[in-house]
Amino acid sequence: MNTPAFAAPWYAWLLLLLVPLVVFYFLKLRRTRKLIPSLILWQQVLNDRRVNAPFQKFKRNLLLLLQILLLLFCILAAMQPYIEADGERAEFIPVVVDVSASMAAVEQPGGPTRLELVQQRLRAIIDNLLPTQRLALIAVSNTARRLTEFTDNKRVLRAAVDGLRVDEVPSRLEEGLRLAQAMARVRRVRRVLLYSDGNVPERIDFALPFEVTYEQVPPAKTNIGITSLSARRTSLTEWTLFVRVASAVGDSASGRLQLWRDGEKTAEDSSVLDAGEGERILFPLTADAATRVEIRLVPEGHDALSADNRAFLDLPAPRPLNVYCPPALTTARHALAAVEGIRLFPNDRDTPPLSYDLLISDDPADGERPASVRLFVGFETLPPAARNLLRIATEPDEFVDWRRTHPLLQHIRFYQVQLADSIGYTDGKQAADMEQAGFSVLAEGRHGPLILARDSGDALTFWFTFHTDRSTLPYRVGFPLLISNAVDIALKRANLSESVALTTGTLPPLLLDPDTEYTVVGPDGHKLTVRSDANGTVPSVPAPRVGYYEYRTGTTVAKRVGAALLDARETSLNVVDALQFRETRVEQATDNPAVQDRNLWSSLAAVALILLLIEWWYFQRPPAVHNPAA
Amino acid sequence: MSSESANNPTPLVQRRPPHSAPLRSSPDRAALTSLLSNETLSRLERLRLRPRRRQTNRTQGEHLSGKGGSSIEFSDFRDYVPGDDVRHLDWNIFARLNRPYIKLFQHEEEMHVLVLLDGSASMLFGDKLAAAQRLAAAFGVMSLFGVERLSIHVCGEKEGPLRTLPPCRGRVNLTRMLRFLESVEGGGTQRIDEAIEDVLKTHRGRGIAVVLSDFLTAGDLRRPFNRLYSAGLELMAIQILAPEEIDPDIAGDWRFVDAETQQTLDISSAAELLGLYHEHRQALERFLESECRKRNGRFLSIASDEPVESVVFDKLQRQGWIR
Repeated sequence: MNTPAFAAPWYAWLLLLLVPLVVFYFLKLRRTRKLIPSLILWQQVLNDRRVNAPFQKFKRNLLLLLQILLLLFCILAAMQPYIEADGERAEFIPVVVDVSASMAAVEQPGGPTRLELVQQRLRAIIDNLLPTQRLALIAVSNTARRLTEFTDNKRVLRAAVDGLRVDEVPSRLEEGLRLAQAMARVRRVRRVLLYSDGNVPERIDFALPFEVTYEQVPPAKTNIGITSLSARRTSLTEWTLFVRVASAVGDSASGRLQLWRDGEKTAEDSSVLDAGEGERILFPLTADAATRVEIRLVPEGHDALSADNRAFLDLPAPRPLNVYCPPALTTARHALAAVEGIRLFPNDRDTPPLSYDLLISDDPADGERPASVRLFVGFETLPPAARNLLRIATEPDEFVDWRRTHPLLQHIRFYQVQLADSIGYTDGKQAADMEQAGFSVLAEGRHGPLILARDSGDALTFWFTFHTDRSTLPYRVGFPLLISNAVDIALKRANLSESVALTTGTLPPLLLDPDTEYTVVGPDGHKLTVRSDANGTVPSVPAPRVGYYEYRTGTTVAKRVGAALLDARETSLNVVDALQFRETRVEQATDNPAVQDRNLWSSLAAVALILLLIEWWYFQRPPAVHNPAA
Repeated sequence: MSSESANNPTPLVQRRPPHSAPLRSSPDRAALTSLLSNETLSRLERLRLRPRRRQTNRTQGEHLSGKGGSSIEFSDFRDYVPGDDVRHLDWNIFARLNRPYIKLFQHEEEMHVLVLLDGSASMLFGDKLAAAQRLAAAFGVMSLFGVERLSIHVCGEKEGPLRTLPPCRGRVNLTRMLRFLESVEGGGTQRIDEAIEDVLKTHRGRGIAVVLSDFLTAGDLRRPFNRLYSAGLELMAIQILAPEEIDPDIAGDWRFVDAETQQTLDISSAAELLGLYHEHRQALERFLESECRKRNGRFLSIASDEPVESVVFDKLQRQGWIR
């Protein structure tokens, strides 16, 4: 604890009021008159120099002492003393508040949420705010929002604190700290106050340019929730639902899982979990049309978080995969013919769709065909950005290395595959330049890349820099596997093989009508306007709440996307005792850091009031009349 | 400040009327005066004032002048020198020795006893005036029975600045003197130093000046004391203080009101000041004693509740004021 300092020391001039106080006291002292024979002796006594010593006058003058003390306490209160928590006073203090999903947890039914506890502390800080201090409030979940500028306006700060709401997303504290760092560029920020329940990543990728005072609110312990939901098609109309439930690390929990299909409960199962344990539960499902599936978790006992008790999934209607492959690429068409559940174009029976799920071609003109997954073979099909980095070499080539874990290359070996075409980098270029141009190199030859990939969001494209027909690859067993992998990728992109429930945070880009303005209405009624580009790609939109987000054009709902799952870390309520930053470690504050500077003026004013009451009583009491005859 | 207390100031001790003074008279004899008992009077009759110097008037009295005179008491013989009154020649010796001798006789002159009684308002506290009246009566009795010339002046009377008993002598004036003293009421505002000056404007005669006062005056007493000395009056100063003045029992904050001038003085923490008060009171006594001694006078400080018999027959007699 440091020595008290004063926020308004200029009020010390009021100490001059002591002079008139003492003067008026002695002029207006309430005295009992007494007739005496002569004042001569008493006059001489008072004229004595020792009597005129000031301290003699104050002796046993309780009323005067009370008045002086009252005045002193009033002046001290006006000077606004405070006790600093450390030697330096923070003038501009960003306050970063974690509003992630776990901050909605309650310790007991009907109790305050973690965020409400933080709000209480923040209100106390605002009440004790010194005139020279400015606070800026930052709310951080997976993104950071600055709620106020640096201000000492208590009304604005209180309104901002009252407006804090929990986002049902995981926390990324570094976002809030980066925002504070940006604010520190225009203001001198020495310290940042950070309020969280500790449900944050164990390592925060941020180099602290300032001191962080981390205050942790006590976390909740008991929770059970759904951490993942997915469905995999086992046949054209058969699905298997995979539901994972987990409990918080603090305590065991149990609950009942209910499967609701199109508003009707069709199945139920129970789950009993120890602390920190998870369990996967399967539900078989038959659906020959698009189906909306919802999993509801009914906790048995106390449950700290309610947002993770519900998850939903939209299962698409079964349909064949639309694949385009030109007749000239016979090797690929042969391989595709062996795959079930696809509709191969061009053919004489079916009408070509507007967009294909998979396109395999060696014709550069097919680059204009819309498709979700595209696979081009041949140097001529390369986009100019890649072709400028490459050249056709004269030496034969072969596979040297490839990414075996990539979905396209799983279970394939390219050993001893002979290539008639040989592709090499132009002079001075290398794989890093290709990566910089936006292409991923999936396979390398002796002189250059052999397989490239690029995901533009609306389409995933693979390029084989050599033509497969001028290699021994079609004669290898890996070729049909390669085509099958491409089909699997296309199935997943079209949500035909499996469907995964989305987590809150950000909705993925969607492919809708081109050049159309959409209003995205969230589950809490919040609206956001986005516009699709010429390809019909609607960019990602934030999804801070659990529920359905509707993409509307006018009054028509063009698309309905559900964000149902919380991050598994939020459900686990796992907390860290200290924040591990890139270079330092910040322990939680042991004492109340608050603004750290505790105001004393209210206490002094209370003492002054008590003194005033005592003085009033002392003044009103009957004067003690001295009776010398007694 | 309470208006009630301002209008009715409370004295330290209510004044006791002189007539209520305790009498030590015998129950079987009617008292001659309310001031002194008959026994005291009878003892006083035998006492005489004893001045340090022989300061007498030229009128014949009972005090030996030392200058030689024409009384019937023989003193000495001396040779005749031309110019002597031949009526004083001792013719018998001249007849036997055939030489002229002048016969000398002791000269007895009267002494003027001036009693100045302070009757100002400050003397009304604590029976100080009554004590002064009794002492004045005692001095008067001793003077009259000693065939001295006695005059009594009372200053500070309500009616006027000075009230006087004209010079008188002989026991025939005893009753007159006592009645004069009994009629003293006091309560005025004249200061003792001014009163001495006023008295000396009209006083004639050498002798003794008995000043009975509390000497609590703002004036300078050295000048009137000098005037008394110059006038041939030996100063006998008796300071009479009330017990409350000698040892006040007081504490807290007070507004003192002067009984004579009605001036006020605010005192805070009076108990803290008592030590200083005693110092100043004793300093005043030492000052008065010193000033009296410088002028061949004497000084005594008594308490007003001290019996007059104790003062006269004990203190004054032991200190040689009377014999």
